[in-house]
Amino acid sequence: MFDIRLREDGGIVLVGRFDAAQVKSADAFFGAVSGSKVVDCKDLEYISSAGLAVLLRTQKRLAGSGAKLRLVQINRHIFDILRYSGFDQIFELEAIGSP
Amino acid sequence: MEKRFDASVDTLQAAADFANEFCAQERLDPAAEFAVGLAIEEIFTNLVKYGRATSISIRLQRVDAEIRITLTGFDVDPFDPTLAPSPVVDLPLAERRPGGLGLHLVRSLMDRMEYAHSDRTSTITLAKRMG
Repeated sequence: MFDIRLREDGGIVLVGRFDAAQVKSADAFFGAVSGSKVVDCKDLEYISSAGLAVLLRTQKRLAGSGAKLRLVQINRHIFDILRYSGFDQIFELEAIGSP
Repeated sequence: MEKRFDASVDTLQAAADFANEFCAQERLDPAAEFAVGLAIEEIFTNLVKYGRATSISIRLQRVDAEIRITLTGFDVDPFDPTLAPSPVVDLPLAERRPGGLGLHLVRSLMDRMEYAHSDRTSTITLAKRMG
């Protein structure tokens, strides 16, 4: 199960398993995003390289207008994956439990 | 345990459920479970995308202190994941290209990756040491 929701404050919430089967719908969602956004990963249980590619494509596109995604409430396993992928260099990341 | 799946991203959820069943049975910790699930997806999608496999079997075993994951792609074009170049992950955003991350993550999470191909069948064996 995977879901992308919009918070009332405009933040984006990722829920469940972000795997290769979700790329088409996730690309459609993120393709419509404009301006800087917070992405809440508290309920994101899993992400693979296919999901990372969606986030990277979005970050590259937004950078053209000086905007960016900020990933917050990231669980430990996903935080490790993001670091192995070098996403700590190109995204602002906040682990779960950060003040 | 071993199970065969249609080679399509639509069967990834079923493959993940199968992996989780194995991890629960072997009482793997959440970090190992995440690593096993990710490694399976990345190799599985590679067999679909680059090998154009028709079906893929996944075999999961514990051999002493090692978790062994064997994916076999049937009716598949040769594609050796052990030879795929690693992406440069410390480039600035403008120079980063999506793609190539999957096998890089598998290498980061697993201790061993082996590849064999014959008669349109590819076998990728991954191993992760426990403890």
